[in-house]
Amino acid sequence: MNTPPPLHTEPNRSPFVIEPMETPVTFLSVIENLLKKPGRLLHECTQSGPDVPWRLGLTALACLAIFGLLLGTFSGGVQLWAAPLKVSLGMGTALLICLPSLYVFSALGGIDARLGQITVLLLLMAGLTGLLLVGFAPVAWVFSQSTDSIGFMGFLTLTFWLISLGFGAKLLFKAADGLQAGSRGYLSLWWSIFLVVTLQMSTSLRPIIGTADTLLPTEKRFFIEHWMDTMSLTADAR
Amino acid sequence: MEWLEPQRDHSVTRSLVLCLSAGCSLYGFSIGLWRAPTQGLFVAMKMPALIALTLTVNGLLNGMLAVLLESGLSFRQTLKAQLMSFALFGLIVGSLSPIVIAMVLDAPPADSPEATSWYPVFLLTHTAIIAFAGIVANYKLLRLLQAFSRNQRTGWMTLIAWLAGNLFVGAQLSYNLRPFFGNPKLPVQFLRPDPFDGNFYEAVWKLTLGLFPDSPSTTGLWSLLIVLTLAFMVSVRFIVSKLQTPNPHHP
Repeated sequence: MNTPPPLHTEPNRSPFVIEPMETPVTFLSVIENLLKKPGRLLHECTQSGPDVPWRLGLTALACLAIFGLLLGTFSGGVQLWAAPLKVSLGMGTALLICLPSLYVFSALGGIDARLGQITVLLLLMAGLTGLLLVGFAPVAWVFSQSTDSIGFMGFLTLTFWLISLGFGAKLLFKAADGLQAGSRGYLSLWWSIFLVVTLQMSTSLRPIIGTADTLLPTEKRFFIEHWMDTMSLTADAR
Repeated sequence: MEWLEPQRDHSVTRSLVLCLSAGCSLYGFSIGLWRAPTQGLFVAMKMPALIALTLTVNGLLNGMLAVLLESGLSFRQTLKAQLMSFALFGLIVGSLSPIVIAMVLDAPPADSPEATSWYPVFLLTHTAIIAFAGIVANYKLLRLLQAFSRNQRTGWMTLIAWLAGNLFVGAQLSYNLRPFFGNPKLPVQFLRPDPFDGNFYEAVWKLTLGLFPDSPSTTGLWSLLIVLTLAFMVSVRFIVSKLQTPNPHHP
């Protein structure tokens, strides 16, 4: 009698294989490999010219801008161009200011890589985060057209941001394993710092959702304080 | 699982779409019929549209999640697998529609005073039918995912991710496409005049607040929501960790 093979109970953990790309470098092949075989992109970046890093960076920026545009439809008007600009530039700034610490922390974690390779790791993370945010964009649009509540939209955006960045972190950790990292502790700490930086960036560049008299804030605030105030205002409005 | 293979022709997809549309339309008709036959026709059009819109809005995300969670499914296979699940749902609810239609014909009109006692009966019947069809359809989808990925945990993770997204968006879209059941005090309409005014979750929140009119603030409710979310996350984590424990009966 034929019996089906037993199902595995251990998770499918495909190793991060650093190998050459099988197809020519195009935007489409970069996106496909980013989702399926990110190790190939790392290989291309280290072995050939700047084709892949540029495409990765542009893909990330474009995806973030698309997500920003969909957020901008919540308020319309100026936000249609301001929100995509703020989301993409805000993330770009966060990546830039966190790059030195990633290099140091990854070295502490036992990764023997040059700054260029670490930059590519960061771009891989940003690219995947951006792609997932584009996946969430239609959902964000449906809600942006259905609600007037800034608190609700903020909560929804934060949830999408955390999920996408979580997948980005997973990719970063897998890549670190592929580069023979000794421990994930330092990278986890770096990711927590990066998360806080992006959250603070969203407050420093406010409003991204909703409107204000000025394009950028006139008052400096910590993101938790800002969120608490927004939630209180939303609750009072009811 | 040959029907999931990419080289297969489109006849499988066509059959799945046909089952889904026919089953959901018939069931939609039975839902709206109690309010009025016209309402039945409207809901017969809206039910398949609701599923199609949910799959469209979440299509890109579900495809990416399938790849990232290492289910082994491509974007096209993701769509086919979800169509299979919804087609099964459609077949089940469609097959039960004649019974619901018979119930409607046996019940007093929705705007009559006697209808009050029938309302909970219909509500419970529809809840039971949808829950049963939903559980069976998702169980089959889970088995498919587990067989395809050859991994229990991956199957569960992919199903939970898809389900969470589809339920989240589906609930909102059903709010936009209301009415389905049809309030007897409101006219029969395809859509309400303000379909994009408000959202499902705010409506639920307002209803919940209405249950506690004496509450001095919403702090208690926020706390309750956070506790429930944490409890849900712990439960999911527990299920996943159980699945990771090796089964002693398997060699």
